[in-house]
Amino acid sequence: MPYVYAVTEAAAPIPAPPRYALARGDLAAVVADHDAPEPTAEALLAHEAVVEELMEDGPLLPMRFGSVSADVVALLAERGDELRAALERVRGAIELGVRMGAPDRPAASGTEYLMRRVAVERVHEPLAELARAAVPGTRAPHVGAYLVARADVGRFRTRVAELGDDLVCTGPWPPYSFAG
Amino acid sequence: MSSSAPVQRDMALVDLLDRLLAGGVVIHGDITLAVADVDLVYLSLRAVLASVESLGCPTSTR
Repeated sequence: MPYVYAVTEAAAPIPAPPRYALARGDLAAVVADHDAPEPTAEALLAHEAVVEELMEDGPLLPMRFGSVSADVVALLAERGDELRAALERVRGAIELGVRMGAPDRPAASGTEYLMRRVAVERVHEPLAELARAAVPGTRAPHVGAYLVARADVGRFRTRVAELGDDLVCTGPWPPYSFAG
Repeated sequence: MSSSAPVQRDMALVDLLDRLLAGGVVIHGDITLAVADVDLVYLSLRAVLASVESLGCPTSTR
């Protein structure tokens, strides 16, 4: 069963071997004939390197790590409208993550929890205004994920720095948080 | 910025894990990594990253 890296447009350049594209209409899946790797740190980084390389060729929707499909062409057919709309949304954009420098552990008290929530919301809203789409973080040190047009990345990073010197901006990532 | 580069890199790795294991397009029914497996991977890799961070390994920033 092919291992699936990403959904792209059929018009995208042919991926570097051993990857190849399976097309259905204007959509394509970039796959390779290997099993899902054991989820080691090396395998995760290797997967990421492939997806980041593909991202330079045009809009893509990254698959979740470990995705294999016996019939990925059927997936492209069944979910074509949804996938096409998501590709349009991410075209020309990348994902950035923003985290607070706070320790990545549960809040020690109710007061700390609330203070973190307030701090996160104060940062999330102005950043969301600069993004094409935004998803708030689910845990307190994570402020959120932001889909940012490539042309706006510099402005976005500047705004992150303005909002607090304890904030860390990670990425650019493939649009993992905006693929669904 | 340079003094915080190791911490930034580790935060980037944690962010990457979050994305690879919980984001992206999901193929219903065909996926091989069961949710329970993913959670275990996530926890074990997070533990590795936490120990790297506490050692303060010099690493390049992303």
